[in-house]
Amino acid sequence: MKDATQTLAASGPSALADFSDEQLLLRYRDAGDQDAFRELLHRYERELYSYLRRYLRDASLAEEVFQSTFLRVHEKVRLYEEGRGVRPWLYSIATHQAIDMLRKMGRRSAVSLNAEHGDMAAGGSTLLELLQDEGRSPIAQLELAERSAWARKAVDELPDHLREVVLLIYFQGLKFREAAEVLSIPLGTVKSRMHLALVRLNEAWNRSHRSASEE
Amino acid sequence: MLEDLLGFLMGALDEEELERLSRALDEDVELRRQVVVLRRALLPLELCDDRIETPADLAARTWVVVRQSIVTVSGAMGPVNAPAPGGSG
Repeated sequence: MKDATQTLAASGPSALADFSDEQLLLRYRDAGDQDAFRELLHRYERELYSYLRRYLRDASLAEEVFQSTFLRVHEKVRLYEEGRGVRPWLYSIATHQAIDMLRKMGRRSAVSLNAEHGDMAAGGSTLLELLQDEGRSPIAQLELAERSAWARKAVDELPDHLREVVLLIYFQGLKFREAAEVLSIPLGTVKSRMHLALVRLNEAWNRSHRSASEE
Repeated sequence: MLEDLLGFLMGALDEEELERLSRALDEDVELRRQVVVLRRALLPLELCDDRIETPADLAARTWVVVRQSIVTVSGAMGPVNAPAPGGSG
């Protein structure tokens, strides 16, 4: 791995491809290397946009916040501390930008911090059985599409404090520790929220499909 | 432990935690049974098939926004020692 301070004879996006995120950010912070910034921007384009798209539930807002996120990265790069994970740092900025946007739009829903734990294991096998029975017929495909739509809606309807943990960990693939850093909450809180989110989703699945089968 | 098992299934554990839990799973049948149960609990998430398309040229358009800021705010200076606009990119 190249050293962060290494000078590139032929600086450019392709020459920077082997650099770590941290090395790129430090090159921008310390030497104002715009190619390093652009490499980082390209590297996180798909990942951060998809996160913001899910978080904000709106494509144009996600695009706007993506741009404001990298503007903030540029403005705050002096504050970046060497050794800190770049990925959680970027997600942290993106999340704050997204929250600010929702606040401006008046769309951040109320958060309940006193949610109770439930029994996650109960009834889970019903869904598994459904999936195992999945066929390739048009009807089966339609049912799968309906269940997929149901699942997306169920995730959307989770309380914000649970949903953001699900987005970061399950959909974006962050580690528990990274999500804790992004959200500025204790590691144990991240773990318990992830657990509780799954409890809620499974409870919702059981309610929804029990009532459907009773109709 | 339940939450760590979830982390194990979702790849959310740090390397050290993962090694510790992997050793525990090798030795504990009950833990392995719990993993099977938890695996089922992840299925609602696995049903979420929401592939997201990134808008065309988003990174390039974002760079234009950032670049404008560099020019507007500092004239010739970037965040710290940034080269003059037009120096690269």
